[in-house]
Amino acid sequence: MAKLPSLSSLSWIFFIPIGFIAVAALLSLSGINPFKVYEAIFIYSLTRSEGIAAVYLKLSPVLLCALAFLVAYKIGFFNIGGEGQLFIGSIFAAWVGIFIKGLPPVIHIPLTLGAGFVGGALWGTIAALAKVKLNVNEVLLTLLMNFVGQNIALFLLFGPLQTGSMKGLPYTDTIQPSAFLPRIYGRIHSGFILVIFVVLLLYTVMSRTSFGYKVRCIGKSYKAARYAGISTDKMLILVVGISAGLAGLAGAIEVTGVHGFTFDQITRGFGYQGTITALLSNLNFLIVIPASFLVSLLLAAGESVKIIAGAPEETSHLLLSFVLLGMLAYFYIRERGMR
Amino acid sequence: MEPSTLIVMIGLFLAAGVRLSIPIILAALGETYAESSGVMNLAMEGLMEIAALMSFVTVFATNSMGLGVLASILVGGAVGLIVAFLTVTLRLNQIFTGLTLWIFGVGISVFIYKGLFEVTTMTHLAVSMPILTVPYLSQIPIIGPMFFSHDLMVYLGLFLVVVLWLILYKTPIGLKIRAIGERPKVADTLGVNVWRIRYLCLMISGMLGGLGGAYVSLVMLGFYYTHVWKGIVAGRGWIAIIVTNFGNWNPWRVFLGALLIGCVDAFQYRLQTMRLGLPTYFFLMLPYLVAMLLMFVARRKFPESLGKPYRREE
Repeated sequence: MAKLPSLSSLSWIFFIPIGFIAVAALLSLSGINPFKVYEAIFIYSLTRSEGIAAVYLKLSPVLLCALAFLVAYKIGFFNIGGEGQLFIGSIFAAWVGIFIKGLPPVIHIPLTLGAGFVGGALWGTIAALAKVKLNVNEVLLTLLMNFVGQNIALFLLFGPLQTGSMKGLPYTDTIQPSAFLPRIYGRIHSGFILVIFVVLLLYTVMSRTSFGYKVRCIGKSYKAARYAGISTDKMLILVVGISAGLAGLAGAIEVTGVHGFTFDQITRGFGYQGTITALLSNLNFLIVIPASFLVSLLLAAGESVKIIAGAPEETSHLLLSFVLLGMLAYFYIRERGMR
Repeated sequence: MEPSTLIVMIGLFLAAGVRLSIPIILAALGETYAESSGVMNLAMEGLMEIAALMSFVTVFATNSMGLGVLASILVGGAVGLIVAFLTVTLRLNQIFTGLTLWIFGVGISVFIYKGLFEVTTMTHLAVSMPILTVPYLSQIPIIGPMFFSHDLMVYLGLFLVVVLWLILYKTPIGLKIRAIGERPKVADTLGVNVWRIRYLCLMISGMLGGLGGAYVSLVMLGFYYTHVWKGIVAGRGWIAIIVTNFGNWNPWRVFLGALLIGCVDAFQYRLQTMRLGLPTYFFLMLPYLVAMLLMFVARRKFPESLGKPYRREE
C-alpha cells in the first residue's frame, strides 16, 4: 500500500478528456467557440499573475475539503458535510482571531487555525455519533447538516462577532493583525505549505502506521474489524472528527489567509467541490493534489471564460460535472475488469 | 382572540403547510417507488433542479402552465432513465452515481439558465397556476382551506398519494415492486423481470421528482434565480429521501412526514414576521433541523436489497 501509484492504476486519467470533449460539443452547439474557452482556462489563468493568484487561492480550501471527504471515506463514511464544517470552522477561527488580543503571531496563528479545526471537528462528530448510535444514513445526514450548519453559522455571525460598522451586514469584524497568516507574494498566503504538510502527514499515517491499517480494515469491513478486536465505533468517531476538522481548517485558512474575517459567502461550494475532487482523484491521497489543482484551475477560470470566450462563468461547473461523469465510466470499466 | 378567527388562522396556516409540502410529497412518492424496488435514487435533488429549470423555461416561452408541467415530467423521466441505466444496467455504485448526477443537475441548470437569459437577477413568469376552490367543501372549517382551496397541482399531489398507495400495496404490480426490493432472486425465479420493473420505478421516480421541481419554480416561486450550490430546490430533494425513510416506504406515512416538514416551513415563515428579535437564519434552519430529527426517529427497516445491484449468476 505504501508504494507510489503504479502506471496501470493511473489509467483513469484518460477518462478526464471525455468530459472536456463532451463540453466542447455542447459549447459549439450553443454557438460558443470551445477552443477559446479552453484557452481561457489553461493559458490565460496560468500565464498571468492575477490568474495564478486566483488558482492558488482556491487550492487550499479545495484540497482540504477533498481530504475531508477522503479521510472519512477510508473508514467507510461518506462525509458530504464539508460545506457546513468549513463555515462553522471559520466562525470559530474568527472568534479566536478577534477576541484574543496581545499574543505574538507565533502563538496566535496556530491557535486560530486550531480553533477552526476544532469547530469543524465538533460539527462533524455529531454526524459520526448519529451514525454509530442510531445507524442513520450519513450521506443524507451530512448533507442536511450543511443547511443547518450554515444557518447556525450565520446566526452566530450576526451576534457578538460584529461591532459598530459591520452591524447588519453579513460580515464579522476583522481579526487581530497577529492572527493573519504571513503573505508570500501579493495575495498569496503561506497556508498552502501547511496544507501540503497535512496531505503528506495523512498519507504517511494512513499507509504506514498501524492506525492507518486499522482505519482501512474498518473501511473494508466494519464487522470483520470489530471481530478482530478493533474498537470500531471509537475509531469511526475519531476519524470522522479529524476529517471534519480538516474542512474546519480550510475555513480557518480562508479567514486568516485570504479575507481576515468570515462572511456569508465564505464557503462558495468548497465543501462540494472537495467531494468532486476526491472522486476525481480516484480516492487516492497523492493524486488528490493534482486533482485539486485541476478543479481550482477550472473554478478560478470562471471570470476569464466570460470575458475572453463570452461563455457563462458556470461553464467551469459544467466541465466539472462532465468530467465526473467520465469518472463514472472509468469506475464501470474497472469494476467489470476485476470480475 | 375570538375562537372563529383562531379557526380561520389555523386553517390558513395548515393550507400553507400543505402547499409547502407538495414538492416534498411528490419527490418522496417517487423515491418511495425507486427504493421499494431496491434502488436508491440519490439523484433526486439534481433531477428536481433540472426539471424546475426546464419547466420554467417552457412556461416562459409558451405562457402555458400545462406545457411546463409536461416538460418537467418528460425531463424528470429522462433523468430517471439515466439513473436506471447507470445503476441497474451498469450496476454502478448508487451513492457515487447519485452524487455525480446531483452535481451534474446543479451545474447544467445554472449553465442553461445563464446561457438562455443572460441576466444575473431574477426572471419572473407572466402566468400562474390556476386555482380551484371546491364549492361547499372549501367552507368546512380547517379541512376546507387545508385540502379544498388550492392550485391544481396540489390536488394532483394529494390524488397521487392515494393512487400510488393503492398501486404499491393493493395490486399485483405493487407486490412485484416490493418483492424485487426485498428478494430480487426469488422474484426473478418466479418470472418477474427485475430489470424492467426497476427501470419503470426509476422512471416514475424521476417523473414525480420532476413534478416536485416544477412546483417549486412554477408555483411556489413563480420566478427563477441562480444560487450555484443550493439551487432553487434548496435541499427538498434530500429531505424527500429522508421523509421516504421516515415513512417506511408507505405513501401514507410518507405523506404525513412531508406534511410535517411543510407545516414547519409554514410555521417558520410566520415566526419570521413576528419580530421575535432572533435573526432570520434561526427560523430558516427549522425545516432542515426537523428533517434531521425525523432521521433520528425513523425505523431502519430498509428493503432488504436496497442499494445492491442485481445480477443473475451465470
